[in-house]
Amino acid sequence: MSSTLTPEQESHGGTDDLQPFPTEIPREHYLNVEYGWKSWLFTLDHKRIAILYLISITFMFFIGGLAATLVRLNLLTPHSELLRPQTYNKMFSMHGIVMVFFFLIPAIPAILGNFLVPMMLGAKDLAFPKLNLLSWYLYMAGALVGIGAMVYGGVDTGWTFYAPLSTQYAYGNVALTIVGAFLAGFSSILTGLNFIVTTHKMRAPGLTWFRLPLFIWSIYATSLIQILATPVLAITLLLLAVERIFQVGVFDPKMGGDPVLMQHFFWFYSHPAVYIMVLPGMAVVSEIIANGARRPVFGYKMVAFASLAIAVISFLVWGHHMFTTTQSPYAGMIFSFLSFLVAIPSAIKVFNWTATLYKGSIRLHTPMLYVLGFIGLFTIGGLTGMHLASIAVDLHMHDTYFIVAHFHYIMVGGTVMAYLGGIHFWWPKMTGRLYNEVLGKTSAIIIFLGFNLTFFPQFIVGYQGMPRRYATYAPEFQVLNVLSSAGASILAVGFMLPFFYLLWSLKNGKIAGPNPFNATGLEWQTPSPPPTLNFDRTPVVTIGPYAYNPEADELADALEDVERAREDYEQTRTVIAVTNVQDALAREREEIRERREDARERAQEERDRDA
Amino acid sequence: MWDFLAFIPPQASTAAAPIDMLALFITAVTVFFSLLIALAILYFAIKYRRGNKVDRSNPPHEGIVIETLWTLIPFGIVMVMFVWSTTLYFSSVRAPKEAMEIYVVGKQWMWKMQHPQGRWEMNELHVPVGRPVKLTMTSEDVAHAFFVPAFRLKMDVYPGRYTQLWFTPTKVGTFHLFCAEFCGTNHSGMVGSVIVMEPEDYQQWLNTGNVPMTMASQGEALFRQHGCSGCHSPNSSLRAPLLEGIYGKPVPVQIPRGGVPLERVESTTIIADDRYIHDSIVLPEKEIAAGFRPIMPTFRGRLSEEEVMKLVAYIKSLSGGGNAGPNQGAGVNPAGGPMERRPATGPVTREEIQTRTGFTPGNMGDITTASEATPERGPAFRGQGTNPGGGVMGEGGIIRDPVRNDPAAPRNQGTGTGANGTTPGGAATGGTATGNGRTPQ
Repeated sequence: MSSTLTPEQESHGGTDDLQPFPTEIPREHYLNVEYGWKSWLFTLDHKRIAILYLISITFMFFIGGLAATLVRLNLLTPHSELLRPQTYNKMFSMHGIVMVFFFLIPAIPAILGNFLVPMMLGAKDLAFPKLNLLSWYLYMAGALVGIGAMVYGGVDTGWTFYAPLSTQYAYGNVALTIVGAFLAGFSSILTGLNFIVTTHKMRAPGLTWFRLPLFIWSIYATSLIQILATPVLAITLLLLAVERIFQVGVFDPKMGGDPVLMQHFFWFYSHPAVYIMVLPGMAVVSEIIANGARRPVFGYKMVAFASLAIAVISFLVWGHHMFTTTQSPYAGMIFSFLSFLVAIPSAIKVFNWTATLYKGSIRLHTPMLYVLGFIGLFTIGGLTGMHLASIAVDLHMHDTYFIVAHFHYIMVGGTVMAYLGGIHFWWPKMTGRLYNEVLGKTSAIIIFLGFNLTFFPQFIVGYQGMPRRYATYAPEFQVLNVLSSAGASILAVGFMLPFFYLLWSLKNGKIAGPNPFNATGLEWQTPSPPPTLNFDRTPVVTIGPYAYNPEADELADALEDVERAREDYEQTRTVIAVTNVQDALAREREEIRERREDARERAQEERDRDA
Repeated sequence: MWDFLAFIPPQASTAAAPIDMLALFITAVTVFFSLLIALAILYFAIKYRRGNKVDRSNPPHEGIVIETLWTLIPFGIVMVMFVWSTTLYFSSVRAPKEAMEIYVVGKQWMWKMQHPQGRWEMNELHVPVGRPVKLTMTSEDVAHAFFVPAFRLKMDVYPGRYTQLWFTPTKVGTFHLFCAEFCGTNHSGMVGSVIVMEPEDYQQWLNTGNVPMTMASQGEALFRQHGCSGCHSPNSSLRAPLLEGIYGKPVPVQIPRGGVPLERVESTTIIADDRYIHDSIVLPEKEIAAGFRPIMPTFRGRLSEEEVMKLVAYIKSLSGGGNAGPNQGAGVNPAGGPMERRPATGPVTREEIQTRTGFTPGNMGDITTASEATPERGPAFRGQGTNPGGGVMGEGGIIRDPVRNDPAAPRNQGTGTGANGTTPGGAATGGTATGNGRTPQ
């Protein structure tokens, strides 16, 4: 059916046309066009590369999760009964390195971005398909080297690699781990480059900048950070490796180096990297919230510019990680000011998303539950960032569990929730199958509850003064740590659940059809799974994104209800009822026709205004 | 007043209550906005749920007024936090002059505290209540951080530099001391306690236990033992700055630049504080007392940070504890400040340095080359106190000599890895003095 889409349907997103329930997936699509390992490992199709990323990043997520499990188990008791301190240090280092470099940074851009950016732009592929494949190979090389190093010998520096601990004193395979992160960094740079060029050069006819989905705006902002900040990380890691291997003094004061310089270098990348992790989450949220509320995102332009503002300001706040170092108090003051400033665009986004729900026709499907969870948790994570932006309070909070709680609210409560929401939202597009909705909602709720139980106690134990990265701790912190570990076990169940039912849906899920969420956006105007070149004809865009209409949707729902009622009555063969229903139906249809005319006219007016 | 918040740790310093107050304010804002957003989401999700019959006509697509409003209101709120927190921070960033000083050395994985009166302790810090205490801290190895939750204060501790943390304890008792910067295997074992005592108990405590000598006297012993007095004394035949009275005063120095002959480097002044004295001992090539030849050997790796601290305490005591007193030793040039005038007789040989200090220093190459070079006219940057004629007896019977600097002599190599044999001049490479905890591979 999709091959016969009219331009009208393409531009409208088919919101007000009821889709007949699809019964089969298209005969040929990107997944079955070729078989065999070669067709995957040498593919240039952005969708297949996205699937490769999906598999490898999921694997890394469970490795990082395993390390986290051991960390939380060990913290059940104050005296480190399970692991030796050395092993504990390796575990939290592994957790941090894997989750940051091999999960959070690539997750949404490399999986969802890779899959969706060309489709949302109406393009056949990314601008540089070979570069795209190369970036996956770099990622894999980095991941394998990193994992190898961490399993074979381990590394106990934490993901921050502070010198001179990392260059002179740490045991284990620091240099090799650094090489892994270095390679993954290049993968990130190439992905960002690809997205930027594709967004500039390969938009479909009529797809102007302000008709772009907000997903693209956010991913674009992310890509800017990726290509501007990641090289700094690369060179910092290189300098660390040089100091460690060749004993060239760069950061170790005993060889004339400067350890605080290393922290400046590191955070110059790693603070923007926080936004590499969270901006794509915001990208997903904007898409899903519009779909779930059946109306356009409130304040489209503000949200788009907020993404760019975050990208720019994020480069100027790194010093707030260093209030307790020898950084000058005046520099600290400037960094504190800018850190408060970066809260503003994030606040704007949260307010705009919330306002999007107003006068919507809200469907609480699985992706929507994840996204509402995101907004709540991200709000808490963002607001607790202000404790840390104020120098006076940070002197107490720095390097305590308060920080751990804060950034997990952003990274897990924010990015991971958005990532899972996105995976659920576009899963039918990627695979052509629907997952079990009840299980989906259950997983979202379990994760939300488990998450809060895990990380909320850490705010308190942090304020009480428990430092992070402690294998053993003072006995008075035990109660809160036990709560936290209990929450982590719930969280683990929540994360395992989607893994199983999504896999199960591959064979047994209902056929999804091209647009199961009745969403706008070009990616929904093509069959699920899409053909290799995405679209049979290049789409032409005539209106902005999110052409949702909550009123029309309500009416369509009412119509559906009446139709269902009619079927029921027909089965009971009650003649009078049928007549009544038919009358009612006729009236409803008349009304719908009128309302729809109105809606069309309004849309037309808007289009004229746009033009 | 804080009893209603049972989870807050004890407030045991003057810094604690204001910080808690600010944190409470920010937390209140956090709770308010989190609830606002959560309730708005719940309200909308229920009211506008699918199928609920409510007015959905003309949902707004944007609203300049409301969007400006929710940009400006958060901005206003964070600016209140910024001003509050920054004023609070700046009101307490400098230690008061009368603060008593205690020296702290962190090493994997213990804290050593050294009281100026001589008593030292491990992983415990005894302080009197109600008196400002200033900690001067350094590390022997990696970065640590000195964190006392009850004081709401924390400061990183780095190798090779001094950081400071000051506080006024307000409550008698025992409080946690944590290392907050990850420092390796036994990081979580690098903990201890801060014991706040009544002043008289503290005095008593200070005079019992291990009290060998005051830090200054220990430093004086080290000053002789390591041969410092061989040059830095009024009777020395070598020309080196006198140290009496310099502490806390601005001193003229030249900061060498690669490739620029030292006499062409303009002099500048810096305050002779703990950091300057520390660096002069372990990184003598970094800042050279203006007008002097760079002949000071490095003591990097020969002195522990603790010993350096004792030397600092000794040099400080020469100035009456930070204020240059009138009791300066003989030979101070009243006209030219404390760093003037020191005789130098001919080149410094390896043997001479060895006799004076007892070791071949790591930067021996620099030293011998500089001193063996042909004497030249010194630079004009400091006229006072140097006799341009050279070799004339000055007041007090001290031979004056023009400043000698050889433009051809290689300057110190910046990072001070003098042990790598990169310095020409056939000098010993001094491999014993690299001072690196781990031998280079």
